[in-house]
Amino acid sequence: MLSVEGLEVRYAHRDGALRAVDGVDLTVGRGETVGLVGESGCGKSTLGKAILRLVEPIGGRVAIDGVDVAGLKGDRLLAFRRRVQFVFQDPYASLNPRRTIGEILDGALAVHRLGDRPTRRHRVREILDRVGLPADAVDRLPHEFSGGQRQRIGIARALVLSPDLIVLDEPVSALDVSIQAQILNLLVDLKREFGLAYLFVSHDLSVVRYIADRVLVMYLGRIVECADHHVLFGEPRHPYTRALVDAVPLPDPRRPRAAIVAGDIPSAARPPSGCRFHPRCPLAIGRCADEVPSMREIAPGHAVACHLA
Amino acid sequence: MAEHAGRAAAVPRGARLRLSPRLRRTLGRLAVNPTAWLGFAILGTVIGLAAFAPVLFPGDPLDMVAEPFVRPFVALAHPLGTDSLGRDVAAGIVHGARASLLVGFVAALVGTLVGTAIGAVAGYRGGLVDDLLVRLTELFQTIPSFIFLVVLVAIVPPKAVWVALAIGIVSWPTVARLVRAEFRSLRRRDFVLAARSVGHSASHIVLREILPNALPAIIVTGSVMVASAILLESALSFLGMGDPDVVSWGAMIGSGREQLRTAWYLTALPGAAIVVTVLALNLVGDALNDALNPRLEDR
Amino acid sequence: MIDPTAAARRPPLFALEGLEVSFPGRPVVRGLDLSVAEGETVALVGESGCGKSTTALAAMRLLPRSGRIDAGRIAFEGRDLAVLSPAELRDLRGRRLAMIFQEPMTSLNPVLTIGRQIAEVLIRHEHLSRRAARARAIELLDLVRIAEPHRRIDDHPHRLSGGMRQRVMIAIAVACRPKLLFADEPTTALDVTIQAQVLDLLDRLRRDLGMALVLITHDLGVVAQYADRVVVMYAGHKVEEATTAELFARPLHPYTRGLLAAAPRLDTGLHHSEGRLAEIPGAPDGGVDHPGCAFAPRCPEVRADCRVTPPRPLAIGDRLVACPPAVASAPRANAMRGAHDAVG
Repeated sequence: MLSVEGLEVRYAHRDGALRAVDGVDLTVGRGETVGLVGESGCGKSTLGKAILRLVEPIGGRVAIDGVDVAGLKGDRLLAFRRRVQFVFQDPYASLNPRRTIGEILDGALAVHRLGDRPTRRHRVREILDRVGLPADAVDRLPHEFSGGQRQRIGIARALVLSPDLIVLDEPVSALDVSIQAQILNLLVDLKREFGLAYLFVSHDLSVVRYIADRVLVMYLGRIVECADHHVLFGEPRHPYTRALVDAVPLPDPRRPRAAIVAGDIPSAARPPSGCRFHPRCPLAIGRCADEVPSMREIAPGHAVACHLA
Repeated sequence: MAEHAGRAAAVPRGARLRLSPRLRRTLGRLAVNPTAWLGFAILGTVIGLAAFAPVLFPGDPLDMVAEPFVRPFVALAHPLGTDSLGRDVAAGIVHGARASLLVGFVAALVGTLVGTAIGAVAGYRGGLVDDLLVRLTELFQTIPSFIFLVVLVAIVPPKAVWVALAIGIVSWPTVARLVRAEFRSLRRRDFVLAARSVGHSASHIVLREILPNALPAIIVTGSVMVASAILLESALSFLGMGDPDVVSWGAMIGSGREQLRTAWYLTALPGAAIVVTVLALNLVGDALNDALNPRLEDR
Repeated sequence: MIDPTAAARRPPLFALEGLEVSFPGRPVVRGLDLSVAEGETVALVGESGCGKSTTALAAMRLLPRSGRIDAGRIAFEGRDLAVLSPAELRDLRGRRLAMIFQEPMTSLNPVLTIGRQIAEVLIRHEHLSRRAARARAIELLDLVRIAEPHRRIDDHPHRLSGGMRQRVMIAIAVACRPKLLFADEPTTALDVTIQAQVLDLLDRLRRDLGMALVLITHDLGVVAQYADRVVVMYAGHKVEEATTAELFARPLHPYTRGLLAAAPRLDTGLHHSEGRLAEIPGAPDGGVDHPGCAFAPRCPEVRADCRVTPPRPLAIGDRLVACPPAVASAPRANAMRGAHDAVG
């Protein structure tokens, strides 16, 4: 349904252009949950925003059902915005503190001219109920809600337009563990009920392991590995994916401690030559510093950008 | 349903239901603030005097009504005395409040509207538009504002409304800078991105999403601007550049300064009126700042 | 890791006894007991608002102005920190006791070089000369594994990555070889590969410098891998305390069990196609209007008397559980061993 080819986003930076997203390909099928993992500065959030044109890409193509999104204007752009929605990480900053929940949700329906006032009011109540918020939330302001409830409001705002795809940018990272489980369960239920597809952006591998059907790993603006969830976490092939998986401390004292990958994450403004992971890679050979590895399919549905894979 | 009925009963009318909790909280915070009470009480008295000036002191306050230099608290008919031309000082102060408040509020309104519009466009659009508008603002700010005002008033007809407009024109840059800064920071917030992702238009985002969040700062600046406009008007009138057909506090001080040694009250009384009014406006500004601050709104 | 039973027998280096801390109109820590033996790592774990960070700030006497210690003793090296004068506290802090925070971005002064910030502590507490302090600062940067310390020492904080800044914070904290280090969510703001490096560094320093570590975290993985003992907090109360091995093998308190079940896991983890995550209903900041257990409104195993009687922490062996029903239904072997230990 969603296909992204060679997407590029750059930001102005004091050391020149920062290539936040540097030629990314990805697809999301109808009803599929794709996880996008990586560490800070790898460009995963920017990629999510660029798909919705919340930041303007400078190159590449984003298409939904084969229709290029780049040239859309006016009503066509509006129709695209209805189909693809976004949920933000920070449930505090992403809700206007001076608008009631009713205004926030009704506003979204009103721009898309979805029904008259009573129909919209009915729809708002229905969605609030569906995400587990009380009906009187309509007249309340965001600061009257806890973090978990605010994230439900953010989900309701996305859901109210009946989208096909929701890009979720670290939707549970700001939440406590017990609340996180509630929100993840809600997302899974909503996906089944409404046939939604998710692009789930997160730094938390455990969360992605639970929710994603397919997983993409991103490092410094590029995708380095892509596979089904059980393959990616079971037999990761890219050394970076392995490093990531191994670095997660497991909640079991009998397990060995995390393996240490040396070195800091380089700045995306001055990425290393060749394979961007080579200065930190325990397996790097001479070729890795010179030649950029391209994504190769090593098994059906499993692609890796590594010379040694 | 029962809790619903309870809620509905607590809030009288459906139409006001939307704003009332927020407004109630703001008013509640104002009600417990002694500074606010003092400020609003003084300001209310001044506005009341101005409004009822023709009733309290019928006739033209510029008419000669008694012999000159009657001292205050001597004659019952002229409680604050008369000036060198036998004009009633009390009538002058009460009527002068009309001119001062009119000029103050009109000037602040003009300055705030112009400043908000320019600041909002600059802050929201950014880029070249922002650069141009910032240069324009700086141009206005680098000219000493009082001298600029004197030049403007020398050009326009000497009418109170024109004086007010001129004051508004010299004072918008402060508001523009403030609004631009607010818009620049608010426009990067996630809720603005969220509004875009839902498909809202730029005008909706500026007017309905960002402006309400910038409004408290604008209101507070506006109230302080009224005070500074009153001071500017007084200064102009003192120099004899105000509207000659209306009495104003500045003009009274100006005409009384010749007799400063013999009849000090001719300058002191209108001076006190200015001080008290400006103080009240500043108190109101402070109180509004406390009451509207969204950071205090969370529990 | 050191033998937990041996640690329990040694006199504690640091102990909180009945600590109560409140902010205006809001109790945050309610009658907390905690003891830390020399050289051990104790994890304080819980969700936001459970009082774990406040406990550390109170122990350091660094509470914000609005916070108050209402009751309790803070015993450290034979003194009660709760009643020390500001001057005596200043002498202890940074020298015998130290603390690092979650945000390495804001806890360093942006206008001073990192060398200067490390040297300052040494000059203050060890009365070193500027030159000697600088030399020692270079050694400390090397100790926290910052490459090329000679060059880095004159950098300002903004030149460093988040992980490096946290290393600098650690260097400042350990400069005078403290006996006890509070680490408040030290790796929460860091990426997972950097988190592993920093945790490893902290653990190595603990061992090499013979310092005890109080690790405040919400991450059960971090707890499992680095703590000797765990204290689980909920709404200002200690609900469970045990050695790490026991807690993860047999969590007893319903809240501890709920937390462990709610967190998605990378190793034995569930996929959404196979089942739902276990939820704890409600939110941790929900108010409690009864005198009983604070967790009762969210507890799946709540009984009528839970809302009436405050749960006293009961000992089972060398662990404590503040949930009488859970203790009653705990495996008998445990209780037996508990009795045996108590006799021995």
